[in-house]
Amino acid sequence: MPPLEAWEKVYISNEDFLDSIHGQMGCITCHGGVSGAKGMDAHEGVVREPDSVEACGACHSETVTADQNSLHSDLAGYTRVLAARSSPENMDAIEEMMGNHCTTCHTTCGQCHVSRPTNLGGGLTAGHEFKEVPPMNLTCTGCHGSRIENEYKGRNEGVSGDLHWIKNGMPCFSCHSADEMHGTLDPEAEFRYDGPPSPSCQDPDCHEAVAPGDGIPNHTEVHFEAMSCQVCHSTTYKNCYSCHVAQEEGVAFFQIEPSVMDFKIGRNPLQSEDRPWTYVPVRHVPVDPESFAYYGEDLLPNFDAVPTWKYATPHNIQRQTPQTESCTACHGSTEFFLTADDVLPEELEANQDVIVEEPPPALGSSN
Amino acid sequence: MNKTTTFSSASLWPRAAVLAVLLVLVLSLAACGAEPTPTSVAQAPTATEAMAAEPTDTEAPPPTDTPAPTDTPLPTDTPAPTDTPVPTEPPPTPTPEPIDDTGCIACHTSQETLQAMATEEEAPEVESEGEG
Repeated sequence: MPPLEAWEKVYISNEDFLDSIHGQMGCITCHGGVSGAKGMDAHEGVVREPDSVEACGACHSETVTADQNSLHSDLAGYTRVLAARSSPENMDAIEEMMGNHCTTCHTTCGQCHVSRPTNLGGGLTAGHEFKEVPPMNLTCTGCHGSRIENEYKGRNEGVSGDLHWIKNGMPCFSCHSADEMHGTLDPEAEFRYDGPPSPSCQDPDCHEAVAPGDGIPNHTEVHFEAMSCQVCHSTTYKNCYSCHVAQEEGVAFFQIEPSVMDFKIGRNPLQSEDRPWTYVPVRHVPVDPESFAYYGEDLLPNFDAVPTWKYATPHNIQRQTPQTESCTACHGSTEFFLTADDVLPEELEANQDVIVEEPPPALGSSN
Repeated sequence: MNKTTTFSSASLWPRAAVLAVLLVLVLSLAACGAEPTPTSVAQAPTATEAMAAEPTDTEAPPPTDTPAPTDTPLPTDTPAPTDTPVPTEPPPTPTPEPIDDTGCIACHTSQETLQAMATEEEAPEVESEGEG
């Protein structure tokens, strides 16, 4: 997405905003600056992006308080997994790296409801109007673009988009609620898939009638226990490899290998009462043992503590997929399963828990 | 021989008449010479007396229905006067200077002004490679 021009980022194109409840608060109340000054003199002390707690907390205290612990705000999911791969003595260097490369993805209230995220260069999305529902294409998929948006909208060559979008035009917030975004559903969640699925395919007003015995031939008790919905109903998605970060003259940058389109079913690394399935789709994440070598030697000494093929919920849901074409697509075939042959030799140890040793037995076999 | 004095009714009438006249005369003179006795005049009680009047034994009229409360605010208690002297002039209160952001609005609602003043941010010399 091309960035806005500098003037465009700060242009209040919609003067109705000035009469709104937020507009009536005045510019300086939130942004600071010099009262009564003109031109650039007014910018002394200006804060481009007001602090969420200070600017929004007085009126939206419940949401702002919860949001401080949301994964969008604290990036706890990244910190958790990097800490698991690293060691306590390396965490200062890891945190320095995160400060330079990750925190631009950290969101604030304004980066969804007023402007584009800083990650995209910022800039007002609707003439400073406060959008209760942020514009999906400028905020949600502005950050979750290369994987989620391309899957969802069918922009990966040769792969259909998600039925929820292609057929029903459902925006992100049709499934992902404000409570989920603001971290109020589960304040203790440490990562995206912590706790029960949210959203769940079988939520009320969604596919709540889908269950074993619902008349669909493959909706059997065994299949419902063995697989998440996406095992059958998602298809080829993007996998990333070997991201390395560095700085040059204070400018942070990354380099990453070209992504690989693939679909792999692995053993569920998060199997629990909430997610009881044996099999789930798994996606390769871009981490590499030397990803952060710029910041120090051997910063990920426990690299193998976490799989590099991660639990995934691809956003390209289809009614019919190559897996549903016949029983033999999965039974007795390794084509769609993550086997040791699919894993880089240096990552075999890390992925022992997700590699499928044997595919489900062929139907009619004695196994 | 005892001499018995007898009076005939004919001889008593003149004497009785004289006595009667004398009696009327005496009474009349007595009445004319006395001070008249003031009669008591009913007077309305003063307000103080009326307020302090003892309740009578007259049976009170039956109670009427209590009127429904209205929205009229009840008078507040008037604070008892104190001996604290009231200052003649209140102490000066600092008045916050009103925030003037007209300069902000004038620029940020004018596309021409912003375009004239904007300086494009320099693109970083090092660019990332690959999909983020």
